[in-house]
Amino acid sequence: MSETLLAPRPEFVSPRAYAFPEVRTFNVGAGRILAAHLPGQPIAWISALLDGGALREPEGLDGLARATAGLLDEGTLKHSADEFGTAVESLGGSWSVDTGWETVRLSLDLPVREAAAGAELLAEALRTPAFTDTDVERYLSDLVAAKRESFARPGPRAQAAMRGALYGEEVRYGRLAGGDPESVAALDAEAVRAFHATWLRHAGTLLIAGDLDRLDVEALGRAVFADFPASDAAALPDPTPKAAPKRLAVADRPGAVQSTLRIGHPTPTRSKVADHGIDVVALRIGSTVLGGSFTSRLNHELREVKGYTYGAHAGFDFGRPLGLFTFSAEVRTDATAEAVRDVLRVIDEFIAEGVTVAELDKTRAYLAGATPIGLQTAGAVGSRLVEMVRHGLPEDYVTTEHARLLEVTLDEVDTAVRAALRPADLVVAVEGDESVVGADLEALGL
Amino acid sequence: MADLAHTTTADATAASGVRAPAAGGFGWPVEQFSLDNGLRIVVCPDPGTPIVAVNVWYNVGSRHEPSGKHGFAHLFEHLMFEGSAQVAKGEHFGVLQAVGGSAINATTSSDRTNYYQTVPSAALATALWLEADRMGALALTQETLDNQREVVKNERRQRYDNVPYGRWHELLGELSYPEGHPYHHSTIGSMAELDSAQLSDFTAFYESYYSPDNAVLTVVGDTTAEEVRALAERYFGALKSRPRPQPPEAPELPAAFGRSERVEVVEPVPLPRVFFSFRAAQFAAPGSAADDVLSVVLGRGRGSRLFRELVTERRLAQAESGYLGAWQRAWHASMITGMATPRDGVELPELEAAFFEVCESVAAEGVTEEELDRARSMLAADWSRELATVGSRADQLGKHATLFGDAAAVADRLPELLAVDATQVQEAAARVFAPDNRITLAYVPADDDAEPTETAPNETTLNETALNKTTER
Repeated sequence: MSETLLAPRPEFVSPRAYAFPEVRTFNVGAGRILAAHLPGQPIAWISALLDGGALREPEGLDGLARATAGLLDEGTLKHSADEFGTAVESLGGSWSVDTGWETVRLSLDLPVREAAAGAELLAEALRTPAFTDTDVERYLSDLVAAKRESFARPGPRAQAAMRGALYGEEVRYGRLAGGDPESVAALDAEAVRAFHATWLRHAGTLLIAGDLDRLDVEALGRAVFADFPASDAAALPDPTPKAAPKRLAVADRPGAVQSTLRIGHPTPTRSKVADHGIDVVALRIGSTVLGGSFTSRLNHELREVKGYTYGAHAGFDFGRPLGLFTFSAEVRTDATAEAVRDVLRVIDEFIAEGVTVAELDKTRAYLAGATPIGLQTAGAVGSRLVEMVRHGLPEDYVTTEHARLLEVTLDEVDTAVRAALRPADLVVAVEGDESVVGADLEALGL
Repeated sequence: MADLAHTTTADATAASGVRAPAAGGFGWPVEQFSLDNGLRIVVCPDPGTPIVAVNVWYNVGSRHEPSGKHGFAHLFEHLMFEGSAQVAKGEHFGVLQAVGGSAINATTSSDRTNYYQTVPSAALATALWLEADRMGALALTQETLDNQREVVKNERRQRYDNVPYGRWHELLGELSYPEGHPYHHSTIGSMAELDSAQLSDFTAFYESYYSPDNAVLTVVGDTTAEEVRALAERYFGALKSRPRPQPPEAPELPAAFGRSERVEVVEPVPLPRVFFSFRAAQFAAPGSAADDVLSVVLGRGRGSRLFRELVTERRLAQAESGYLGAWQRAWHASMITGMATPRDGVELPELEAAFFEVCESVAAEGVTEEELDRARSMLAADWSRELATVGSRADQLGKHATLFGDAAAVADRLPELLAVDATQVQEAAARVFAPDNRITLAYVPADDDAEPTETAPNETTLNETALNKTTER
């Protein structure tokens, strides 16, 4: 193990420019298509994005948007539930649904040569779901059981506690988008059919990432949207965070050997951050330094220095209609209050001191390198198309933000961090054994 | 970490019988050579994007751990990120990030340990220099051992102790392999074993197994064999190989457990749930490809026979994405594991009997061509997705080089799976689902105040959580 056998460290290399794949846009009927060209890519990704998320659910039916979207492939007028699932898988397809606060999205990832057949199935599910009593009853009862299991795992209850503290449980935005075991137990076939009829029988945006030389993009769009009218739903008012939220929320989990921490506050949404003096690229660098990678200040302190956790993460989710800054970690029960104190201290110090030149250089290079490394698959490119639509971003935003990343200054990063992070507003939600951790958390005097 | 019970049948290629183009299993050139010190090198040039994946497979896993030292291979994997002769403690990740590297991690399984990163191709030298520095001169200190021991204990709490059903695969492993067998114990180890670990254990482990001739270095992406050869000579060429002990002796296992056993665990779980284990063929041994196809036909996806029978037809089980998974263990007999959750009002024994009945129906009556086509299409598309990134392509090449001495054998995986016919699937079902080859692990919900028992995983990674955001909204 003599060191003389080792060669010296190689020279430093500079970050390079990056260009996002070409994006083509089309209008088909009342719908729109955004398609990214990935020459030679054997897998294609197709996704229909429609108005109609959790904020559109009737009172008392939390989880209805997710349930409706999840039932679209459980039988159509043409295929039984089993036949439909078999048909998707016989194309090598992977079917997924994603429901947000404002949108519902159905996606299919499959070999490019099967894309036309896949789009037919996507259209069939969207336009002619059967929603038979039998299939809906089966699906919903499984959903209730799955929610019960999910809520028995650490995470959802901590997240629900944070949302409730920030917005109030009495408003929809103060609860989880997917609902909870009690709310999904109240869903029924009639509610599912009504939600579909009201929200999903409209044109939206078809997103495609794949080899466009092998795809008839407009035919795919016609298959999915055909004669659907445009959605004419009025925009919802933005939810209002509580003016002075209680800063500590505990969800009791007797016997837990770890506590699940969620510490956060609301932020503007992506399309409005500039109005608040926040440069989104500068903030991305700042939040990566704070909590966005393995070497971040928070992961370093809580994992590598203190040994409290297997991993800690913090970052900004510029979702819609509002964004959220969140810290998350699971920490040893006996270190719970100390870990919270350390998180708040690290955030305070970060705001006071700002980022260092070394942190800026390293993080700039890391994020610049991560752009092409993170966009190797059709689905990854597709997720950038989703952002384009949800936030009204230009088709070249990935390219221009990458270029901006290479020139952001230290002052710009510090300015963005100080404009976006508000430590006095952070709400601390803890899912853990209250009999063990409750008193110490109260003693933090939040 | 991937939940192995549900994901390991992903190794396949091609397309369904009717639609398939005459695709081979691997569409890129592969070049292989060795250095004088025995380090094997695989290069797969792909100039498409200016990035390159660097992957190192060490042929050491938890199967090499002696009794009382379980979990040490994985804890050692953590120590590999804590500094070496020219890399300060805590600097390893930072050096890679500063040249634009990401997808940086390592995993330990019973079979092997892999380390990987993807970097801009201009930074290939830096990634190779880092791998060489820790292969040649790792810094092992009491301070880093003490810290990483705590991190690993937190990893175990997070993945196994603090989640419902967290110990299922550890328990099935212990039930499926005899005491002392290299696959009997889990990869994470117990709290007591981790607490007892001494620094000398890890210096000995490093000397024994982290030798150049026990490793495969794979580089995939925007590079050439000439460039990699020159860089490898510069960074790894002077490292010396070291002798290592013979792997622990393990008696050859019979093709079946030789028993049907049912174990009930009472824990504070939200729902009753049953897990199964069946002995299966060792990876790449005769019957192994058929086992993989069998587990997809029967137990993976919305159109699988178990879903259609147990969920849609008979309404006995909850919907799941998978009911069966093949583990593809490479050094001794492998296993297929299963799981199912009863619907409200259904008793576990009724569900267990129905599960076995569906499995046995394949042994008795075989499968249809339509069922086989669905499985082939899924396996072929999986293989395309698996090879879509330079990182996972490198891992597949390293795997085949380590197991078969020939990375190019990767091209056989998909054709092998697509060639499996209905007769072979039926034969596999008769062997795997024989009445004397099944272990049942039933979880029964306890009262709220019952004490949870201990846990452990099968493949563990360094930092998955630190890099993943929470997904609830």
